[in-house]
Formats: sequence, structure tokens, C-alpha cells
Amino acid sequence: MEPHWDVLIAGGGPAGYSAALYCARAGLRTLVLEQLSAGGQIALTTQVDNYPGFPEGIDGFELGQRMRQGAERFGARTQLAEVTALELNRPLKTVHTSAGVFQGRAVIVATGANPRRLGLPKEQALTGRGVSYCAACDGMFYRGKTVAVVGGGSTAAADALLLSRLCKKVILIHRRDTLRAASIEHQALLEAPNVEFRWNTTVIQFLGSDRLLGLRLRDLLSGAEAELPCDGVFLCIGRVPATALLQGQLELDSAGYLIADETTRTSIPGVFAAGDVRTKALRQAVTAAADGAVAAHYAEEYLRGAQ
Amino acid sequence: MSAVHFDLERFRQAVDAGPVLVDFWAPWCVHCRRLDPVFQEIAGDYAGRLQAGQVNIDDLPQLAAEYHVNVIPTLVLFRDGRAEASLTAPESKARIEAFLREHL
Ligand SMILES: Cc1cc2nc3c(=O)[nH]c(=O)nc-3n(C[C@H](O)[C@H](O)[C@H](O)COP(=O)(O)OP(=O)(O)OC[C@H]3O[C@@H](n4cnc5c(N)ncnc54)[C@H](O)[C@@H]3O)c2cc1C
Repeated sequence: MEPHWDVLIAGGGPAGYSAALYCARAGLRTLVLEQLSAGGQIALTTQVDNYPGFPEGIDGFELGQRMRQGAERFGARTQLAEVTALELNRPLKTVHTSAGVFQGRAVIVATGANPRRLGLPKEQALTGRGVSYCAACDGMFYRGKTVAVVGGGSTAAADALLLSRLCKKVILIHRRDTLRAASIEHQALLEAPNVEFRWNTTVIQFLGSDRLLGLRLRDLLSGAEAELPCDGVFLCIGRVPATALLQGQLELDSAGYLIADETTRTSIPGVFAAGDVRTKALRQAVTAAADGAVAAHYAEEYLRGAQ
Repeated sequence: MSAVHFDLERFRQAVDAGPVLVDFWAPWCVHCRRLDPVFQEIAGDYAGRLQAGQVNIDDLPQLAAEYHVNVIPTLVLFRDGRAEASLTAPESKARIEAFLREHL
């Protein structure tokens, strides 16, 4: 096993690399453990228009790379590895990963969030074969085809609008009889000639075996069931925090978010929660980055006290 | 050691020469970009045991069709000139390592 680190950061999204930047600049030996690549969810969008400092907007993947470079410039290190278990109760904390075991005196959890699944049979098997969670990512595959969008929030509306420009037909399926947010997208959607709405409706089955062929729907008012043939379905039904590894160790709220206030401190001293994983009002790149800075500040304070 | 960009000829030569891991991708695919840093590391980690290369499906749609790649990113492992196994949109480096442990 390697000599230990001052701070181990699980997750290399905006929260993780912002924390790494602040920790490294405070002179702490800092390692980021990231399973795929810098940037996290923001790396999935090609145009970020609400991160300050980029008047023309910036590509999310590039923003992630720059965050990593900024932290590494001051000595933070990155290990591309998946965190598989954490032992957080002792002063020296142990993190198990696909690339070995690491120890650190403080841990910042910045594992972010993932799209929520519907939880129906075959969902996993058909993901990438007609079932998708991101119109900006996969919309191109459905040019000229018929797709369904499930959900009623602002993401569902934005995705349906984006898809309406690419696809032959878009069917928006929502449990209620109106969209949640009266957004700019809302009006544009109602006016789009190729967008159809199925209100008070849920998906109860994915049809097809190798590839999605359609959906089985249930009308929530009448109970009637019907089949809807389509080439793809985009599920925009919210996100779930990546906190499965922490269940039973740290306090989570009923939706699975790590309970931590604006100090980012969790229920265990020396363990901090930054970004989309934490209970908070607004989950965006800029608030994730802000959390990272705050977590680094309290980690430094904790380490000073622990000496 | 980083991954090679295959054109048709280099692709055919490589799969005839030994085991090859091919990353089917396209410039407009955002998941592909997220996978790239990890794929480059895999290319280095497995150098000598495996050649790693990338196929842009916009340039070589015939290869995507030949190997039934309908979704990208898809990694296809070739052995003895044949497509042996494939992995679509792995969510971590660990997932690719497990795939190679199983099939290489
Ligand atoms: C399509 C899309 C578009 C968006 N557009 C915008 C926008 O325009 N503006 C904006 O401000 N926000 C946007 N957001 C939201 C923004 O991306 C998130 O709020 C932000 O990325 C949260 O940062 P984070 O660091 O907390 O978590 P994440 O970005 O989720 O990063 C978490 C990281 O941890 C890694 N990880 C998770 N588990 C493990 C593990 N076990 N081991 C190792 N690594 C792990 C993940 O691979 C990931 O890289 C968008 C999100 C999506 C999905």
C-alpha cells in the first residue's frame, strides 16, 4: 500500500476538481479518484452557458479537462479508478478501488448523481438499444425517427424540444395533465407540429428484445392499456445520487442524498460531501464547484485540528 | 503508448496480427469523449499484450455495419481476426478491465 494522502476525493466532476484545486493550493497532498474522466455530468453537454467567465459558453468536456488541469497545476493528482468501498470511521480513512487501496486523513465525497431509472424489466438490457437518458448525447441516433420522452420537468421539456428538431415525431408521456415548469420550452413544445402529448399516462413495459420496438402504456385515469410503437425512448425522470457505497455509514435523506449543510460536513468528522451528492437547493456546475471550495476549507481546518 | 487511429487498411492489418481492442466512436458522440482518456490508459496498460485502436464510424461506416455497431461508444475485442466480444458504453475503467480479464 502507498503512503497515505492528506485528502482523498471520490469523484472528478466540478465538485471534485474544485475541491482538489483548493486542497492542493493549501499545500495538502491530494488525490482524486475518478472512474471515467474529468467533468462528470457536465462533460456530457457540448454547451454550458451558465458557468461564469465564458461569455460565449464553453463545451462541458473541455470545462472538465480544464478543471482537472487547474488542480494538477498545483500538485493534485488523479487516479482513474472506481471506488468500491470506503472505511471512514477511523482517523486514517481507507478507500478501496479497482486500482488498489488508498488511505487519507480526510475524505471528500463528490460522486455526483446519475439519471433515475424507471425500474422496469429489460431497462438495463435495452439501454443504448433504444432506451436513453440524455437527448443531447444520443439524439443524433434518432434523426428522422419516432421517439417518446418520459417526464414532465424542465429536462423532459428541453429534451423533447431538442428531439422535435431532429426526429419525425416526438411523443411526450407524463403522469400528470400538465408540465411542471411553465418554461420557455413549454410554449415552443405546444406549438411544435410534430410533438404529441400523452397526459396522465405511465410506461409499464418496454417492448422488444434486442432493441426497443415500442412501449406499453397505461392511462392512469381509465386504466386502459395501449401499445405505442417507437424507435427510442428518452427517460427524463430525475436523478439519483451516487451514494450506494455510503449507505449505513453516512446519514442520507429519503432520496439518498448525503445529509450535509453549507459547511459540507457529514455525520463523520473528516468526511465531507460536495456537489450533486449533497442535500441542497440547486444542482449545477457552479454550485458544485462552490461546494468543492468549501469542503477543502473545512477539510483543511479539520486536518489542522487533528494534528 | 496511445491508441492508434485506424483507417481501413491499418484496421485489417492489425486484426490479422494479434488481439486488438477497437473503440468505435464519432466526433459528435459525447459519451465517446468521456471514454477517451480511459481508453488511452488501457492502450498503455496493455501494450505488448493487445493493440488498442480507434475507428471513427463517420469515416468508416462499413466497419460499423460489418460488426453490427449500432451504438457508440462500443469496444470490440478482436482475436484471430474475428470479433470475439463487445462492450457498449462502459461506465468506468474498471468495467473495461473486467471485460478484458474475461475475454482476453
Ligand atoms: C446532460 C446534462 C447537462 C447539464 N448542463 C448543465 C449546464 O448547462 N450548466 C450547469 O451548471 N449544470 C449542468 N448540468 C448539471 C451539472 O452537470 C452537475 O450539477 C454537476 O456536474 C455536478 O457536479 P458534481 O461534481 O457534484 O458531480 P458529477 O458531475 O456527477 O461528477 C461526479 C463524478 O464522480 C465519478 N464517480 C461516481 N462514482 C464513482 C466511484 N464509485 N468511483 C470513482 N468515481 C466515481 C463520476 O464518474 C463523475 O465523474 C448538466 C447535467 C447533465 C446530465
